[in-house]
Parts: sequence; structure tokens; C-alpha cells
Amino acid sequence: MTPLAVTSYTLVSALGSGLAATTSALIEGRSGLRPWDLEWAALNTYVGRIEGIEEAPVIEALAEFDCRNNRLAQMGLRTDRFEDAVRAVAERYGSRRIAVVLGTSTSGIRESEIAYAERSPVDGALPEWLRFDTTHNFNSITVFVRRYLGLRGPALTISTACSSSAKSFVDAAQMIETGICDAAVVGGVDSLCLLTMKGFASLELTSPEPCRPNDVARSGISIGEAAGFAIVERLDAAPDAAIALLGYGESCDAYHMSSPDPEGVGAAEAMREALDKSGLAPEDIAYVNLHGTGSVFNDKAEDAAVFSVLGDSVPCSSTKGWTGHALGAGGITEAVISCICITENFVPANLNMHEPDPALSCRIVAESHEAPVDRVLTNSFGFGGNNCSLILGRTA
Amino acid sequence: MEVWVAGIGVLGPGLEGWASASTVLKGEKPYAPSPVQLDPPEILNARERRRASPPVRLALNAAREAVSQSGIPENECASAFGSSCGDGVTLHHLLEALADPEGLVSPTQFHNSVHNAAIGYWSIGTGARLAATSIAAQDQTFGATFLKACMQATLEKLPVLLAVFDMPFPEPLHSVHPLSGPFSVALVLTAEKSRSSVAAISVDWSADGSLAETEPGNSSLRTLWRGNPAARSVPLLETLASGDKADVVIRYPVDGSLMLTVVSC
Repeated sequence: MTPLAVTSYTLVSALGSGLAATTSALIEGRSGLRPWDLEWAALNTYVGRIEGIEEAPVIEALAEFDCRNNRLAQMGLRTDRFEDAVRAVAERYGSRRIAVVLGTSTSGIRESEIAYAERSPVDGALPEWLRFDTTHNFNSITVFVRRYLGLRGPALTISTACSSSAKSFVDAAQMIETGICDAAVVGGVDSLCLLTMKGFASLELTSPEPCRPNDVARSGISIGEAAGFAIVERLDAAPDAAIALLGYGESCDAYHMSSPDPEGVGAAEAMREALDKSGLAPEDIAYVNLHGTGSVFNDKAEDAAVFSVLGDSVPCSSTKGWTGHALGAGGITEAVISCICITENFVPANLNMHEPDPALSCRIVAESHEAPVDRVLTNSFGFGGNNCSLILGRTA
Repeated sequence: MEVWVAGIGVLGPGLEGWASASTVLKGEKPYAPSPVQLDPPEILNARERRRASPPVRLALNAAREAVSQSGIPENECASAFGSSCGDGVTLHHLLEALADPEGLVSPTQFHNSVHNAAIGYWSIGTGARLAATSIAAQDQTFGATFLKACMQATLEKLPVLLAVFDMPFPEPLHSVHPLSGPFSVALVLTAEKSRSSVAAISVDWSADGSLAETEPGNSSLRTLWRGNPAARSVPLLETLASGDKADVVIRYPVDGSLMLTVVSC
């Protein structure tokens, strides 16, 4: 594919707001995970929770969109002067020529969770205050962001569980190539809600400790929340761009809704497609940011897949020990972290891995270090066996 | 861009299967809505078949029809599924469980609550491992998913199974987000003409939202068309059923237009 410039990006996660906070947390090895402490339920788990959401409603003009997910989106848009970068791009191409493609898995479902607890005892009706279409609705995040940024181009939401925001890059690349837009705001947002906290627990996928991807004693995931955004546009129109999307691959496991194919066949296909599209060979990849959730099955299956495509010389790590698993926003979280790795020439350790699982074959990084990082492959694998691999790289 | 339609599936009240639905859509038979029969999807194994929720059945049965008609093996198609609101039946059960401090969340219902559950089950049931997506764009979900399928077919040079479905929520969610009835549509699109092609569609996109969206020729289909985002496909389906050459405008989110010129072959 023709490389697609990534000309601006930002992230708000459990590591803090923005690239500087994220970078220093990565370099200092400081995890953002903490014990679950919200009053919604008593849960024995760690989460990547973001502070301040409760105190930061969305702007008055968009009050009907107010919910945790859109508040978090707003925090993201206000970070790293991202909204200024969007304004500049909109001035360059016209606001109708900028698409918004975002991923989310649960959108503003928290509003409906609260509403269901307040149903009328008489007829079971939901309380008047619930604004389903502008909060819980899957597409609310995209409509909110598009309106907040004053954009007037194409917009849609991708909801493929944990691969959602990674796939937003793919749709944007296709839209730009097709000519329906010249640039796109991509990324996604997912926020803590009771559905995922209790849902993953019911599947016995959450750990009572901070997640330990690739550790021999790993016992599950730590759910996180995040808002991440990037601007993508044609490289020839943005020649100063430092980073580009070089390739992408998508596939399905065709195996099970919530367990990965142990042989990682689909995952391997997604990675191979990304390499093919980018015209790169495995040895051209400096670092693999694994999906690496810390679940017993994901890490093993992913290891098999990565090993089959890239062997055991490429350094790999999961960064979910830092941020937790931001679900639909996991893809953009790790795309932004990958961009940081490229700009800083930094290979992050696989945080929280006390003892590497000897059953794994890949070269999993135990200590963060500096090294030339020109090209990163990042994996996002979601429920339904939905896989997406992205390759990001330095342009010059 | 240009795509070819290799197979069509449809499932809605009084529109059960392309053969009988097309006689209604081309005006040979009056529209007589009746409750949709949601058979357990054949492509799933016995246990999953029984447990498949109504929205998943709605999606998969239409998808199956389109793919069978196309003669293209399921596992050779990439997929673009769309739904404005996903599985409301499963969602309601989960929200009830979550509202009860002692409530237990069913792990199966949890993994079935993801927006991409239908395409997940499709791929598991058919062994299809090519790219798959699940799109939500409220009332313009059909336009969004249709264009995605066209881009996928022409840029990635793959047959693409498009399936868009929406089913009314049970109460109390129905009152806060009403839909006019269940409906699903599926098309298999290819970038080149094939033996099973029934029509060519040339697709143009415009930022001009002032272009009027084509309405159903059959006025008795208006309620379904207006009230179910998947049924925004009805005017296109009418054209495919009639075998005429026609232009169809479909809204593309948020306020753009897809201009389709449909030529039957």
C-alpha cells in the first residue's frame, strides 16, 4: 500500500494525559494499574482507571452526549493540542473532506446500566433522563467527536471488540484511497462499565492482580479505559510527517467467540498480510507490540502466531501491564505507544513479567532499552476472533 | 467504482427470502407483513444453532441466502456486517442482570453482546477467515456498510459478503429507541463480473446531503424503510427485483450521498 502519514496523535490512558505523560511512564516503568475502587460494585481486580472523568462533563453545547465515554473522548481531544491539529487539517482540506472513523466496544452503555437500576417499579420504564441515542448508541462516540471538532465529512463507528480502533486505520486508508476524504481522525474510546467488569469476570478472564502478560503464572487481564486519536492523510500531502502506516492485515480466527485459536492461524494471517501490504520482511520489524492481554490462552496463541511469522529474533512485548486492556480503544492505545517507540527509539519491556513462561517461543523483552526502532508491528485481537495487525514506521 | 451483485438475501416481515420478497418488491404481489420466521441458522453447529439469539438468526439467515445464490464458497468472501444497534435481546438480559446487585452475568451472553457477534458466529460456522468488520452508523448504517463492502471488494480484490440487520429492542429499551420491525439484507459483491452476477452497480459518493434519498416505490414499505436502518436498502432491493436500470440514492453518514446506478444483467 502507499504509506499513509500519521501526522498527529494523542492518548489519554491510565498512564496519564498525553504523549509526555505516556512516554515518561513507559521509560520509568511506572504502571497505571490500580485496585478497582469505584462504588459501582465490589470487585477484586486491578484496572487502568483514568482520574477526573467524574468531574469533567462534556461541553454544554453537546450536553445530550454527556456520559463517561464521551467525557473521556473530550479529554483526549483536548490533549496534545489535538483539536488544534484537526482545525489546521480542516483548514487545509475543508471540513467536509475530513472523515471520522472511531472504534468502541461499549460506547456509553454505563448510562443504560445506571438507568436500568432506576426503572419504574410500576411499569419497568426507564427514567426520563436516559438519552440512549446520544450516549449508549454505538455511534454516539463518533457523532460526538465529529461535532466537537466541527467536522462535516464521512463518519462511522467500527465495533469489533478489541480490534475496533486498530481497524479504524484500515477504513480511513480505504476512504482516502477511494477519494471520499483527504484525511481522517481515527482511533477510539472505551471506558469502564459494569458490563465488561462483570462480563470478563464471568468468563474468568480477569486477574485479581495486575495483569502479567507472558508470565508463567499469568492469571488474566486488567481492564483499562482510554481515548486515543490520530490524524491520517496522504503522505505526499504531508511530506514532513515523521511516521506512516506502512501496512495492515485483517482476519478472523473462525474458532470461538471468546477464546483464541490456540494455533493462531488467523492471527498469523493478519500479520503476514500486514507485512505483504507494507512490502516488508520479518527482519525489517524492529519491535512487536503484542496484544498480550495476560490471559492464559491469548498469550500462548499469540506467541504461536508471532513465532510462525517473525521467528524468535524480533523483540516483542505487551504493554498492557502499563495501561491495562482498553478493549475497543486498545488498538489506538498501542498504535500511539508504537509511535512513541519509533520517535524515542525505545523498546519497552513486557511489564509485570516476573518469570517468563518457558512454553513461549518469542523473544519477549524483559528490560526496556534504547535501540533503533524504525518499524513496529502491533496486534489487536478481539472477541469473535477478529484480528487486526498494523505496521507503523518512520518515514525517513 | 463498480461492483457486481452475485447473490442477494433478505429477511423481514412479509419479505422472507429473495424469491418471495422480490415478487413483492417488484409490485407483483401486495405487501403483507407477518411475523418473521427466525430459523436456527444452518451454518452453526447444533448447540450454537439452538442458542443463536434472534438478531444473530436474522443476520445469518440472510447472509446464507446471499452466499448460496452467489455460488462463491463462504470462506472465500471477506465480510462487512452492519447494525445500528446490535443485539438488543442479549443486551436487555445483561442490563437486567447488572441492575441486580446479586445478578449473575452469563458468560455466553457477555461474549454474545459484542456488536460483531453475528459476524463472529458467521466466521465460526463457515470457517471464513478473511477480513471482517462490524459497522454502526445509526440510520445510515446501510450506506456506511455498503460503501465499506464496495471499497473492500475493489481495493482488496475479494468477494465481499455484506449483511446489514436490525431488530427492535425488547422493552424497556424499545421505548427509548424504537424500530419499526426486524429486517436484514445481504449481498455478495464482487469487483468483476462473474457467472452468477445479477446486476452491476456503479457507485459514486457525494458530500451533497441535499440529494433526496430514494424512497420505496411501494408506499406500504415506507414504515419499514423509515423505521429500520437495515431497510434503507429497500429501494435498492426494489431495483434489483425489477430488473430495470435505475438510479438509487442512499444516505451516507452523516449527511453525504451514495449515488448508485443499477443495471441488471
